[in-house]
Amino acid sequence: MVVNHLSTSWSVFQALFLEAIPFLLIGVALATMARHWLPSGPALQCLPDHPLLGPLTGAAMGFALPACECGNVPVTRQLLAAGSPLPTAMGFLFAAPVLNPIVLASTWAAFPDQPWLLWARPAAGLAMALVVAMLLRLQQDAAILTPNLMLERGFHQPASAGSLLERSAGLIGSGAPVALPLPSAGRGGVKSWRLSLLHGMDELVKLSSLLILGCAVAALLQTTLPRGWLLAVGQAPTLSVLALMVLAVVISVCSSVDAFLALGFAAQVTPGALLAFLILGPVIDLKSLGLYSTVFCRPAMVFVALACGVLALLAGQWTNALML
Amino acid sequence: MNRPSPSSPWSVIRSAVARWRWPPLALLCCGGTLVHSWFSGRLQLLMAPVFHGLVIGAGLVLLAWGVVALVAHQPRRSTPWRAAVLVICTSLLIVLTPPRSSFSTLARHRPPAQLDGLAAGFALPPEQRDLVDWVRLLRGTPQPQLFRGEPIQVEGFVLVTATGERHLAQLLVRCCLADATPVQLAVQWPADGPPPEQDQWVRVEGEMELLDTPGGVQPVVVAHGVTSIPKPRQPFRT
Repeated sequence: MVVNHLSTSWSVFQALFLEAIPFLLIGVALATMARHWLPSGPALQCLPDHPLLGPLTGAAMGFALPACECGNVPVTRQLLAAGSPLPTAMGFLFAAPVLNPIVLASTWAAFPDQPWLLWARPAAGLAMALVVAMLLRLQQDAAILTPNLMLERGFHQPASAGSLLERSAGLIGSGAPVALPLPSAGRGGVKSWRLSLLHGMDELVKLSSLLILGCAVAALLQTTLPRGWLLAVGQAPTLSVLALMVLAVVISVCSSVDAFLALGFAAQVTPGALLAFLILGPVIDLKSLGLYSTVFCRPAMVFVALACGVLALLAGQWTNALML
Repeated sequence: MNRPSPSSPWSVIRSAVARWRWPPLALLCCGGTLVHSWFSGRLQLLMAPVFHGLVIGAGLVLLAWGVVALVAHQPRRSTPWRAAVLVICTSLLIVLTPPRSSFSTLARHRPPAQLDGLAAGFALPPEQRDLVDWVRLLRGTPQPQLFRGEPIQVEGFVLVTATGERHLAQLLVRCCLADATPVQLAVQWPADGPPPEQDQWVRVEGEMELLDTPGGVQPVVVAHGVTSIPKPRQPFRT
């Protein structure tokens, strides 16, 4: 029995990992190309820092990236490292997995008979991205981002943008973060390309190792946690939303196909639970939490997870109140 | 303060290990694993065919990237060698340990698959309908008694349910094994022999009946003959 569970978990792990790696590669490749070609620093700093316009701009950028959550984390990291305002980057990070064309098309393909879901999913996903980005904007960058990312970000920020303490980070004291060398963007030439590729390689390897840990946890929970328990509360308005939120976090499937998965139990759960599953899973799941650790420090990760959870619960409850 | 001195053996070993070109090796191993998974046919056991091209392409890109990084002059940099070693070990483990999932264990506690959107087999004669066609047909009709006595010949694996019954099942996969859900039929196995083992692939010949079961009156395949068959190259429906 235990052997059966372990061998099945191993197979699920392989499936999750092998399927996620191409999306991670797309994200890192885009980030590498952006690092090489896009003008960093002043140009990215022109993106809006406004609490509403920033996330909206980021969400619009996300529409152009047909990748799931594995792919947009490295791109977000690169945006932040190159000096993009936090609201724009956060809008991109949290809206892109729901608002990209592939996800919208798959939602339409899976639920052609439920038109409300076709606009409710992107609308709720966008609202979640806006609120989380606005909440994060209330904090100092240094309280949210990892020290390494802050150091890279510091290279492209005007000196006046950081506090004296932030500016001295990495220069004084022990345990200083180690910055990866940033190639000069847009200068062209073999040397610049080589640096970009090596930098991208380091990022890909690091993110892959985190992906491995996330997939391992997700695969183990998938085979030990009976879904029947979660779906047993299908028609209870609040419990069904909570149960599907847990399911979304555990299952960790790509946001491009999660609508087809939801189709399998759509008839058994409340509409609000279905919506909560479809907006939370693309943003927070076990597989992607490791990837987030390259962007957020631990308290910020906990905050993001809780904020997204509460917002998904509210969206689900509101939907149930309107539709049941 | 507690760090080992630069000349300590541990420090020497650590710096020697860190100087290895682990990240390019990690890319090569990971890319090789992706290509090997396709070449060995394992992808067909793990995910829907629509993703195979993506995996192969990613494998080739990773191999090329790894080769370029290996031959490129590498300046001293903050190489994530521990992460690279984890990726290398995992890749090797994937190659050396093929997936041997128990579909029965995987599907036991999962909800039945939603069959909307799959090709229908309503117009087929009874003996040509496969397991998914039959389940669609039985779910879609308010009068399952109409199919009593019809001959049936279906293939699948033996799923032991949470209540201990042995059903004939197939998995429906939209993305990968993580989202697999079962399509199953209750079977009354022949009394003249032991029922097949869990996860065994079999062809069942018999007729459709409505029988009184612990779960109420439901369609059941009364098996007259059970033949063991090899596991298909792609053992699930997409």
